[in-house]
Amino acid sequence: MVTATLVQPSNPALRDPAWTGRLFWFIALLILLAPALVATEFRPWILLEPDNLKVSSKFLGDFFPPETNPEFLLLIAKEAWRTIAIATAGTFLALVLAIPMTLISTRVLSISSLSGRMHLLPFAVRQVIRWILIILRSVPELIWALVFVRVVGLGPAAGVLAIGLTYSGMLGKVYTEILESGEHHVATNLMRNGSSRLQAFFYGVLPQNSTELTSYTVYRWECAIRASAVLGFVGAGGLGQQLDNSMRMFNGGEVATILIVFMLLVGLADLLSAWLRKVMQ
Amino acid sequence: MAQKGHAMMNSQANPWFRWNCSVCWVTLGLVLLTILSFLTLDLQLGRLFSVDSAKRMGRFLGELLSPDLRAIFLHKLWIAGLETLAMSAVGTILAAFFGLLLAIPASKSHANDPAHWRFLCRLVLNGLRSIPELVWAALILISAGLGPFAGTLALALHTTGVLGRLFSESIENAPQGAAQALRVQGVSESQVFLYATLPTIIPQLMSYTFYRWENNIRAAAVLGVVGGGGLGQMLAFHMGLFQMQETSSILIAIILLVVLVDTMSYIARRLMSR
Amino acid sequence: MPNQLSARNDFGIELSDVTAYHPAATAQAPPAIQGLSLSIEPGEHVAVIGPSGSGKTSLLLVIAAALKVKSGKVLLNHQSVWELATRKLQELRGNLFFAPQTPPLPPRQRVITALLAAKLPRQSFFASLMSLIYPRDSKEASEALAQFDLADKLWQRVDRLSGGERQRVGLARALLSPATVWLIDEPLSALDPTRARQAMDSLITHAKDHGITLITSLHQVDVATSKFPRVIGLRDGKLVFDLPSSEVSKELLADLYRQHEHELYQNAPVLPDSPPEPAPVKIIHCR
Repeated sequence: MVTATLVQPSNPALRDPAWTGRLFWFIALLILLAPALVATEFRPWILLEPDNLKVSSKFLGDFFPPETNPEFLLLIAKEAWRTIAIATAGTFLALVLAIPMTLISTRVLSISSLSGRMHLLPFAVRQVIRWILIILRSVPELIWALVFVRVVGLGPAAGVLAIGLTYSGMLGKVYTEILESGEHHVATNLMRNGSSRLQAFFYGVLPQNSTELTSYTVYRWECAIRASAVLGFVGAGGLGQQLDNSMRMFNGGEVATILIVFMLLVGLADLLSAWLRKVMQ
Repeated sequence: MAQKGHAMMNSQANPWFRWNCSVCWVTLGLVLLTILSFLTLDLQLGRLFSVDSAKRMGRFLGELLSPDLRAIFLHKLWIAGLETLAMSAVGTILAAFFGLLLAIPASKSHANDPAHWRFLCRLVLNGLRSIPELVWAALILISAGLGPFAGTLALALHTTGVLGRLFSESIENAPQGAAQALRVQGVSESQVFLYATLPTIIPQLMSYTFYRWENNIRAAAVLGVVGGGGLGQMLAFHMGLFQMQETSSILIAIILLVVLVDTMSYIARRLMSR
Repeated sequence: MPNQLSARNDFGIELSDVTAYHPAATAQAPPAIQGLSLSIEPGEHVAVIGPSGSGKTSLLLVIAAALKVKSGKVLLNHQSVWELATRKLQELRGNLFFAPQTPPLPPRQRVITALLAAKLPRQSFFASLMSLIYPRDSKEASEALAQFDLADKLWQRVDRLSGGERQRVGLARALLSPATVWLIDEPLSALDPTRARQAMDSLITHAKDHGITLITSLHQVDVATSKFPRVIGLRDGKLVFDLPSSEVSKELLADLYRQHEHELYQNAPVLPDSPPEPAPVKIIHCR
């Protein structure tokens, strides 16, 4: 059957001209994929080895019933709140850091560029800020958290700082994009008539972009909740830390409870942020 | 802050505060939430801004500026970087395959499609999606042991959920003309999918998969922190031993990888949109 | 000759007192087809004419078992269509080929694949999968294309074709389908007169040679009366006349196209270009 279909017709006009290309890319993919499989130690069958199977089935078996001891539930509720609090405080920190950087780096609000080209100093400052934003957001929050756990010790502070720094980079970039994509002549006019950069921002730029800015911020907050739940794995507090503890003790029931709470939390944040964005419109 | 700006503007046009102003209430709620967060978190701000902590930060930064550049270590770093790339690629390919496999029953492809499995498949996809890669990796470690295989599987599981969801939305939103024409001819659903639906949506599926791959490269770089292989595992290892020179090189390598991926995807997007 | 043909094809069509609504119609909209009865013998060639909005497409869809009727009976091959089990209905549909006015071809598909899709009703899943990997029956597809003067487009992508070329690909699909009844909606709307004549001739010749029942809705009244032995006139979803083409007089036509006179002499409206691309789902980046 296979060979019958793959025999090429004798008439050259009836031969698939794309065939050789497809064959080439298929083989190229295989050649690239083989070392990748080796590098990732891709051996699915080890999951089925009796020893591993015994451990995993025991662990998974413990999932049911999930731990419902009131003391534990209270602990989890506390950790869930800590997760939310870390996310909120982190987002706030990110806002505090991002807003001044946005105001400086937005070209719309450049007074010197009103008369043709930007001056050298403001231009240099703007470029430095842009690079800082790039570096801040390029380092994943987990790496920041690892670093801060080293510097400020275990606890929520590391999580707040990690989220604050990474997200200030993201917020700053997106805020700048939003501000620069809109209509500029109101702000330009205001500054031409002698108003300051901040006045131009509040009266010329913010009004037309406020919805988009808030909706993006709320959305970031939702992302922060997902992130802060994970940051606990490196000791930055919250649900992740509790999950890590329970997993180290192979306590399936506790892990199950935490996972359920985790999914509920993420789902709730999802709904809440969608609702907030709708209300803010 | 932007929320406040919005509320302020509203209040300029209207009386200063109205009971039925939902934006005001939401803003108030957010402010309260922020204040409560700072109050309840034991942030130890005193310690954070102490001389001691500043010293430690300074020492740490200083150590970061002296990366380990021995050839033998750079070679190890290169291998770990390749491992990270391989993890993301294998994970994404697996996810695209299984995501499509789950997306087909998870979507109601036309008005008369009974879609018996839709609810169950959506549930599975949502479950896979709502647990982050890192948590998956920590769970899989128990059955697969430390190493890149656990990380790959973790990426594959989470991404299956994400891609499956996106794919099934593509299938449901696909233009129905071509598919309907075949259906009316009495062609079976599986063949309709192969000959009409799939060719219509394949560019979308490809772009989703590439977007996720880009994301997964970054995720793979940190997955190792919990033991999932790649650069992250090296980082956790050397950081745990306080070997700051190596740590610094690894951090730089991760940042370079992320910046490289961002730049490539930016260039690719520019080229595609042209 | 006719006897020999009916031996190969005994797929009769009978509609009795059929009323059907357009699928997207509102509740108050008048039915697209009202109280229509007609029967078509196996191997017959019939043209359906009438002003736009008269229900030509709906009639074809009803015969194609694609539009569910509100009341009345549709008998295809002596079976009442809407009383059949789904599996039986699908089997029956394999005998029908409906070609829409705008051929719905996936934009990035190649012409060969679009053509071979017509063969799917009689193909196993595995065979159709293999055919995607390497097209089988490329000879047959190329011959079908040659009938419409498109042989050189066999390996092209559909979205690289002009509207007229795409319509001819849609017609060439009919030649490859295993169906015994062709229902072809406005086959000539995007073609210039020469191409149109050639395309019509190809369809009619193939249908005659294989004893296929050919039912075509047409805007071109002269083509309908000159090429088809039987012409059905529709207006407002009702049957106005059902006559041998020799008996279709100027007066009858004038009456049929009352208040739509321009359609009698002008060509059909130009086709819209390929269907719009689906809007991409917005992705949210957390990273």
